[in-house]
Amino acid sequence: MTDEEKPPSTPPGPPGPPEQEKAAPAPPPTPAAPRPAPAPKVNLAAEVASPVFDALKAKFSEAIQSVSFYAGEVTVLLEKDALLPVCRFLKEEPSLRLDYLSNLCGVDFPERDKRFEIVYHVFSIQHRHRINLKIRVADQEPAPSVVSIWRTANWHEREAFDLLGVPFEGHPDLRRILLTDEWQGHPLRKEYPTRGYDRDHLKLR
Amino acid sequence: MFRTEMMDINMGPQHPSTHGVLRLKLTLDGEIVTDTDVLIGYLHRGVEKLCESKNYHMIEPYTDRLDYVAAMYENLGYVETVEKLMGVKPPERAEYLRVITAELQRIASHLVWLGTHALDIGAMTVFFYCFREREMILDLFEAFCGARLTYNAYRIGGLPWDVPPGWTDRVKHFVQIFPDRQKEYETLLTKNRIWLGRTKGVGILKAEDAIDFGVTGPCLRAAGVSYDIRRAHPYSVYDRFQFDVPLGENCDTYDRYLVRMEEMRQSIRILQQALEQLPAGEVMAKVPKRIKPPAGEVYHTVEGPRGELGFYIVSLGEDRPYRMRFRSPSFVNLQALPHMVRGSLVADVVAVIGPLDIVLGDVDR
Repeated sequence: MTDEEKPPSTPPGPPGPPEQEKAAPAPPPTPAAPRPAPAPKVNLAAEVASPVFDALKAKFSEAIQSVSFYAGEVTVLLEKDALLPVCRFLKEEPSLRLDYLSNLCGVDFPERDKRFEIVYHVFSIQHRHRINLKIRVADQEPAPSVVSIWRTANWHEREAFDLLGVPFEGHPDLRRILLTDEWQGHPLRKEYPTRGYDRDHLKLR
Repeated sequence: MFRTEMMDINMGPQHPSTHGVLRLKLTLDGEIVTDTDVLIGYLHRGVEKLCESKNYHMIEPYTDRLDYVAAMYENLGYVETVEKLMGVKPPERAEYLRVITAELQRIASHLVWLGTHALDIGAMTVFFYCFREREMILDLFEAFCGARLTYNAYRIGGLPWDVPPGWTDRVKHFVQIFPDRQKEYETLLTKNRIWLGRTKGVGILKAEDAIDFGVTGPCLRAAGVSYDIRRAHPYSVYDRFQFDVPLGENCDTYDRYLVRMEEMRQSIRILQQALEQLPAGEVMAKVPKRIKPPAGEVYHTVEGPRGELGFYIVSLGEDRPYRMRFRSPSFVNLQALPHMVRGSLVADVVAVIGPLDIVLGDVDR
């Protein structure tokens, strides 16, 4: 299969100048290049306005532990116990309507007291705004399940349980999802070796 | 004297119409499905774990292997996420070429879906027609990046190379002929009585359930919800193109078919505009060889052919991500399957899995 098999439908005219792409490193380096190389440094951690965060601050100021901004995203660290009321409020408040939980996952920081961070990326289909929520739990400490608020959390929480070993309180069907039921350990924990346990025979050559 | 019992039956993991290694445990009352347990993980490779020990350049080939039917989108989402993390903007020409390849990929992916979905239901001809045109797109990709399935086509900050001479003319040629080819598929299916009988009213998923289950992409839009990330949260240069977001009304398999068919037409529209506006210039921004984004975390989404592709990266300022998470549309959409097939016939399960358009590499990661 060669590139010449399907020639563009041009009439077989006289062999004029071949139709060159005006693309590649063209000989005349036009001074008006669309983008001069060094882009201005942007402050990625700049604060951005967020109606969701404002509403959250007004109603649940005592539940907010901290807030961080990065690349236009707002991430709110919440008290664990406040998670369910906050989520319910965010979903049901008509001016916010964060009805779509896009992603839920856990992050492992083994050196911390509360080693797991559970992250929720919530969007509003109608208003097209978003917010990231976070809670922290210790090893074996159950995190509140949000399945009663967004049903999509079901498999996400099962996956976090499977790969990180975070139990979710109030989950209807908490069992392993990707790994087999008899699997030992939780691979996404930092102390779990990438090649797994008992894999000494799998050496890099 | 006589009594009836529920029967458990396994569908998959080796079943041609589960599109890979999906295993369903169906509980049947006669021929009616009363409950479904979806068992996945047969293709789990622990990509998220592997990414934690690879630097940012080395991860991109791994993303190819997630959704291998639409690997361009995995590449696109990944590089855009890292660019967002670093605050880098690729050159205009690179953005346009990304859009062109990505929309070609959407058509190719929808063609695989259409061919296999029709094949599952019993219409064999469509499959050959679809793969004829998909082949043309794969040839274009091969000319662009050398690969036909796992492209690794983009780089953080732009593209590794410009397109070869004459490539855009070949794309223009494809854009010209494809609408007619698409009409051929439609003559075979759209008003076909058997097709209508197999797909109309099957696998109902109402709008509020779809949102609740996190279902995105054509399945959500077939339920009448206008949510397309290219519109709702425009990324790359998608805010410069005119296109419609097709919506369904009846929330069934047939509407999902119509929505996807219309999406292909809209992709052609986007391609036409992108080819027209394609600027000249560089294709690679100035990025360091060793990518070390500052400490921070981003969650970025793009609209893949199957729905919302999300990428979550936690960076601690090292040359490798601390945590990498792929939010795959197949995984999340599959979750709605038990709800969609409850109370339907066993034969319809196949007609419901089809338009969910799952790719097991994407489900299991």
